[in-house]
Formats: sequence, C-alpha cells, structure tokens
Amino acid sequence: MEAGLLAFVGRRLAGAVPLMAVIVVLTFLLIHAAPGDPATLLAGDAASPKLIEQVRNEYHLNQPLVDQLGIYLLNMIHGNMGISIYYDLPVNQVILQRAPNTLLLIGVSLILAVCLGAIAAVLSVANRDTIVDSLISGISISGYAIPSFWLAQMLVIVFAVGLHWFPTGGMTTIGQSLPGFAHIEDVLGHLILPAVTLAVFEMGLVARFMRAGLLDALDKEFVTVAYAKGLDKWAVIIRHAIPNSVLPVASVVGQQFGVLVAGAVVIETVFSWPGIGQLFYGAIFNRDYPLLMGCFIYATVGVVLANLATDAIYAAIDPRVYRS
Amino acid sequence: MSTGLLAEDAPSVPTRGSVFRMRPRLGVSAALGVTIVGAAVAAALIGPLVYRVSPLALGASQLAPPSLTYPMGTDNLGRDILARFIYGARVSLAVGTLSALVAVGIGSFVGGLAGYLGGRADFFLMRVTEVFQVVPLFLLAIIIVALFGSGQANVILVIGILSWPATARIARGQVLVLREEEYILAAKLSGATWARILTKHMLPNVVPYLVVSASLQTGSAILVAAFLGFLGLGDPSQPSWGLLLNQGQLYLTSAWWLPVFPGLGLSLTILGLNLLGDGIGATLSQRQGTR
Repeated sequence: MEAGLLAFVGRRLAGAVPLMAVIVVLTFLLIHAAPGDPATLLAGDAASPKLIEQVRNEYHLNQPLVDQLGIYLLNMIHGNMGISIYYDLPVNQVILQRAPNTLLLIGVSLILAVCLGAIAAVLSVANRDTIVDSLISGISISGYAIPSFWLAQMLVIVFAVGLHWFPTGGMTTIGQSLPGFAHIEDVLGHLILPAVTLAVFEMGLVARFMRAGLLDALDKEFVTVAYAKGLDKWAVIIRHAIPNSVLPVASVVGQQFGVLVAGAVVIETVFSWPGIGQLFYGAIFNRDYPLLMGCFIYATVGVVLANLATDAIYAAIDPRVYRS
Repeated sequence: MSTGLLAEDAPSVPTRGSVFRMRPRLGVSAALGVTIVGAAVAAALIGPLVYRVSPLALGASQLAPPSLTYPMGTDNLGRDILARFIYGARVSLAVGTLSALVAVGIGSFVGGLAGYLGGRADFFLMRVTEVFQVVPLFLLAIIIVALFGSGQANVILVIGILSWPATARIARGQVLVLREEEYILAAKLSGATWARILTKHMLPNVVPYLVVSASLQTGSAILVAAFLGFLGLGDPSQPSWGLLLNQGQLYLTSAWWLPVFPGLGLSLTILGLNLLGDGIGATLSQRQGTR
C-alpha cells in the first residue's frame, strides 16, 4: 500500500474513534435513562426485595449512572462488554457466536444484489429507451420502495406456503443432524428466501446507480473513439463503460451497509434466522441492557468500518481522493 | 463585475412559487408519483366518509377471504380489513408527514446555520450531523421506542430527530452556494441581520430543495414507522399499515389477505413519494444545469 493511502486511511480511522466514543456514551445514557427496572425483570415476578437488591448489586445497577458508565467504558477498553443478563454469558461470546450467521446472510445478499443489479443495469443501457429499459427502471425503483418485511411475508406465502420450495424459517431443519454436504445444502435452502429479500432493496440501488454511471461513461469521447474504431455496442459497454461505472456503485453499496444491518434485524425476525438481529430484538424485550448495548455497538462499528473500507477501496482505485 | 442584484441571472434562481410553476415540465414518473400520492391521501381523507365501516368493530365472520361484502376480507376477530386499511392509510400518512416535517425543520435549521455561519460553528454542527448519520437509524429507533413507549407522538419525534441529517446536508450545500451571491452580499452591506438574511433572502431559494427532501423523507418516515409497527412497537389502538402487517405475520399460512393489502398500500405510497421527489429533483438539477 502506498504511503499516501496509508496516511489517508489512518486519518479516517483516527476520525472514527471519537465518533464511536460519542455514540457509545450517548447510547449508554439513553438506554439507562429509560423507564423500567432491569433488576425487577431479571429477578422474576415473585422475587423478594432481598433478591432484587442482590441482583442490583451484582450488575452495579445501584450505583450512580456516571459510575456505571465509567465501569462500562473501562471494561470496554479491555474488550469486555459485560455479561448478558438473559443468557448469563459474556456479551462478546453471545454475539460472536451469532455473528457468522448474520455475516453469511448479509454477504450472500450483497453478492446477489451486486451481480443482479449490474446485469440489470447493463441490459437496461444496452436496450436504452426501449421497453426493456423502462421495465428494468420500473422494477429497480419499486425494489427500494417495497418494505423488506412485507416482501419477506409475500415470498413466504408464495414460495414456502404455496409452492413448498423452501422452508418458512430457521437456519437448519429441526431434529436432523445432517452430515457434511447435506448440511450445507440444508442451510442454503433456508438461506435463499431471507437473502433474496435482503438483496432486493440493494439491487434496485445498484441497478440505478450503475445505469447512471454507464450512461455517463457512454457520453464520453473515448466511447465515440471506440465506436469509430469499429467496436460494436457490447464491446464498448464491456471494455469501456463498465470499468468507468464501478466506482460510484462501490461507494453507494458501502454507504448502504447500515441499511443492510437494519434490514438483517427485521429479516432475521421474520425468518427466525439465528443471527445478531434476532439477538438484538430479544434483548429489547428481556431488558437485557448489556446485550442490547453490545449488539448496538457491534452494528455501529460494523457500519463505520464498512464506510471506512469503502473509502479506502475508492482511494486505492482513484488516488485523487487523498492527494487533493 | 455586474450588479447581480438586478441582472439577467435573477430568473434562474428558483423562487417561492417555482415548484408549482414548473409542474407542466415534470416527467412521466413524477406525474405517476403525484397520482399515487394523491390516491393515498384521498383514501386517507375521504375513505372513511365513503366506506362507513368501523375499523375496530368485531364481526361475525372471522378470517373471511375477500368477497363482495368484505372487499379485503376480515381478520381473526372478524374486523373488516378494508376499513382497517383506510384507517391505516390515515395513521401512516399522518405519522410519515409529521415526522418528515420534524426532520426537515431540524435539518434545514442546522444545515442553514452551518452553511451561513461557516468556520467553527459549521465544523461543529457537521460533526454532530455525522454522529446522527453513522448511527444505524432503524436500530436506535427500535431501542428508543421500545424503552420509552410507543405512543404516536413518541414515534413521530423519534423518527424526526433521527432522520434530519440528509436535509441538513442539502440545506447547507444550498446556503453555501447562495452565500456567494451578490444580492446576499448587498443585503449584508445594507445592514440586514443574519436572521433576516436567512429567512427573507435565502429560505425562499432553498425551499424547492427542501420540498424534494420532504417528499423523500416522508417516504422513508412511513417506512420506519411501518417497520416499528411491524415489530409490534406501534400504538396498538391505532391500526397503522405496519401494525396490520404485524397481525398478518401470524396468518401467513392461512389468510394471505391479511398481509397483502396493507403492504401494497405501503409500497405504492412510498414508491409514489420517491417518484415525486426524484421528479422535482431532476427538474431542479436541469434548471441548475442551464444556468
């Protein structure tokens, strides 16, 4: 990596740290300012005042809020995010156990979205101003107007309930421990509907930005030259237009990572996919503050890192970004 | 350098009424947007007067599929889905519009101030904006509504307070451009206060951009509100489209009409608002291009 690029990434990283600190402090204060006492919830319905007091002590809930925040931040610097009240396990452990499932879901849907979106954009541009173009534009605009949770329901009704092609939810078939390849096949079967649901929004976005990028590139003089050299439409699109339209698409995809994470929360809930989203949703209703904070911080760090990675990749491809 | 105050470029700056004047030049998609949004608003306003069935009245036939008596079927308690759909349009549009107003209000204030003041104030306000932009909006909205209560006013405030950064950036960008205009300099020299310059001279020129922003924000606010309702975090006494989808979730295998119609309403309304916003936005950037 070039020194200038390294410095650029370092500067961005240094800028992200205080940003994260502010977010952590604000979220902590917000969550702890909420009405509702986690100690009473935790100790159960018929708990004696003594038991509640004991629980309060155990989780530092009886100390002033500032002290609680201090303890939390100090622990966090050491990589300790506390103990989940509901699972009675370290928050890190609970989250990291689920993280691969969420990353699998997000990763597969991102790949789907980028591939399908790019294909749609190229088809759209190759058939510019025809019915195909309008049709693809229409579909991609609708793609990000449709709420993902509703799309999830519709896909379940059609493909799981109606056609029985895929299961309605979960990650594996319950009560079966399948060996090797059969297990992978089982997980894939469960993955398809949630991944497609999550991909649709992003796909519309990719298609739209890439189409704009392609049209922009096709207006340039080097394209006129390419045509003059005798290249046909497809050669021009593939050799000249696509390479020039990838950058803006990459940056849009990176910036939308937060939306993907949020989408994952709701889609995991609909499809009972055992990821961080489901964990987050459960933590709210169990008043499991440490776990809630943990999920939120992991998600936010993920978004910040994704933005950073996008900028770094952008800068690596186009050095003008950090040289200016 | 000419005296730009009187000069030829005056008409190119969009003025107060320009959004309405340029309607004939809006494209097909914007026209479609206006139609869809108009239909949704009509359903919300006039619907209950035309279709006089209570959204809360329990009926004899439960989970009845769509028929002539029940155009959208009934739910598990025999309530009429069409009546609930119409009421849901009311709730969803009201929540969406009000949240968008809050967001556009905060956003244009913060962005306008940052752009106008510049320097340290600008730096500080933009860092604050950045914090709000990085935080995953949906997740924070869930946390706040779940912990502080899911009344309608709460939902509106939370969505508004969490979604203003986009508008702030637009407002700041416009004010930064306008700040260099000569008539603004003239106003400054003639002793106008900054408050007067912002509201009297700059605001009218930023308004068209705020309209675009408001249209897109309303769409996204409706989506966030529905998302909360879908997770069971809406006001249970107010059947919004999101809440109807939450109920529909239990009957995916047996009664498809429960989730289908509210979701269609949501998708179409958001689509309409997006088309509308994009249409006005495209016209604005065309105008800027010919400048």
